[in-house]
Amino acid sequence: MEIKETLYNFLKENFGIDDDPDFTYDAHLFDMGFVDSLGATEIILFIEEHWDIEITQRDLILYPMNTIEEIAEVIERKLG
Amino acid sequence: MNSTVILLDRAAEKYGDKIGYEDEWESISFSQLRERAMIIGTKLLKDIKPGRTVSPVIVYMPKSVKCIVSYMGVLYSGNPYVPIDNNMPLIRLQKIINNLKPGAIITDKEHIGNLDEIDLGGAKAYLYEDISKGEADISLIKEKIQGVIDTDPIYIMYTSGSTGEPKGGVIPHRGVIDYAKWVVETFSFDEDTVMASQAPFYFDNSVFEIYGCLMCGGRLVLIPEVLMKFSLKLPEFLEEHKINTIFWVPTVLINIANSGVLSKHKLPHLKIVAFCGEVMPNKQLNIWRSEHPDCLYANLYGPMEITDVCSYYIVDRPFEDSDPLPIGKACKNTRIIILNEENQIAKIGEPGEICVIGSGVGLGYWGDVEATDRAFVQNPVNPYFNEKVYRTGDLAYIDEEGLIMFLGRMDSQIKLRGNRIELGEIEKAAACIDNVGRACAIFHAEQEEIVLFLETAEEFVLRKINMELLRYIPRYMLPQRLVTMEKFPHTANDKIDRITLRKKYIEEK
Repeated sequence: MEIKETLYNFLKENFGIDDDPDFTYDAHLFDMGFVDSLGATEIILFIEEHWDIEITQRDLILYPMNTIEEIAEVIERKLG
Repeated sequence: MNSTVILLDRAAEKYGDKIGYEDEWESISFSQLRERAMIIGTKLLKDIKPGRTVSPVIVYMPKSVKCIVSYMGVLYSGNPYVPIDNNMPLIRLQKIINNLKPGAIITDKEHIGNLDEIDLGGAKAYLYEDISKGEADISLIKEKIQGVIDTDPIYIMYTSGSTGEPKGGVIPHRGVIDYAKWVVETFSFDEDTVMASQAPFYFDNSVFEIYGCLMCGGRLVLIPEVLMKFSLKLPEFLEEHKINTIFWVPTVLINIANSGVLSKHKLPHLKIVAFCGEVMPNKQLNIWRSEHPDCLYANLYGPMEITDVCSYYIVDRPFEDSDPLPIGKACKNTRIIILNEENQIAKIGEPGEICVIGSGVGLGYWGDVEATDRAFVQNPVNPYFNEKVYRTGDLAYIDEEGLIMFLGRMDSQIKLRGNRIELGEIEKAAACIDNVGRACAIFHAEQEEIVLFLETAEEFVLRKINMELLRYIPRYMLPQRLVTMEKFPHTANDKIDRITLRKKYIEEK
């Protein structure tokens, strides 16, 4: 499955997001209220386990990870 | 010493080129901080119209070294600074400006546009980039600083108000000077102290870090804001920057403990773990203590109306997971009394209100005499001389060992993830949403969630309601659950029946 699709399904399932036209690959997950402050950690834990990569504190400072699109980019870069 | 900014003069003389403050963009020595702050101070001194004893200056920027430079600059102008959250809803910012009547605002390119939508009441808005350049007039500043007395305000910080209007707590210089000394003595800070700053500057925990470092010549590393969302990555950051001291809000320490990351990342540099802002559970503290047994752990307590902290407990014995942690004893030059319902000193073990006396007590709420007079009162057990006590509204008792044990609040104010929230402010905001009748916010402590009840015939979803609420209240106040109904249950005297709402929709859920 494509990275973005995997993320999309994970978020939908774990953060109780109904069919919502605002929930897109570019939607700001935090500003638009899809994920609350505690959810950010859950997302990182999921990514690290699912793709077997490590997201470091430097990655988080250097690259924005606010949308599915942005998160997928970081994962792709890590998978190289 | 009268103005706290003299601490910066000393630090610049004593530690000079040593780096004092750093963020993800820049680092700055004590001398550079002084030079730049004096330029800002000069500009403000020349521009702000005289007429009031002090003219508060808002600093409206993301957390950064620039904020610290601005605060010190404002102090050099003889005025108090007001740190404001750059993500604050503009409607709330307008309320604050209406109350504060600031003398000036310092902001940056990204945020100056927001101010176009607000009535600044004649205050001039400066770009940091502009106001931090130019010449300092040292003699002008010296003359001004000599006129500052230690009961003048040093900062004003706004917090949630139950009426929907934010309240500005005013703190005097003498409180911060006293507190900075206490911090350095108590934790034996010196030039090798390296702290990682977690709290936003608009929370008073920042006073510990900013002035603690200034006093001891230590270094303060500001944690990039984005990392605060991902607390499990913070130990990695601490390691990279060789941090030896943290003073954080318990929520962050709890999240780190719960994530299991402490067993993976050893923190050999860490020596002091202090916390303040809400109750720290022993369950998570025990995880920290078993992973880092050599650290000193300290539980600090203090509301925003006093200078950061008024009591502390150095953790000196084992605790069971279910034990409460004491908030300890009053800090030096502070007295705490527990007053019972009869306004008498409570006996050992008897619950009562925590009341604070001392130089650290604030000067009240800016521009709100009524609220000030309710909370800052003559000590009811002292009929002999003028002695102001601040009534915190927090309940506690003193145990057999003489330690203060925190119990909770006397009113509907809550603490959620370290943030102080008045449920009334959420209710006022929710009632502004179209097609909503009345609103009622109830805190479910066990689940750590705010449940918002709305009287409405419409179908609402939480996320959409929260997007509306964000126009009025900050993000940390948003509810976690929404219940809508056409009519609220009533009590006999026609008030909203909060007890029934809590029972039916929270406890039985």
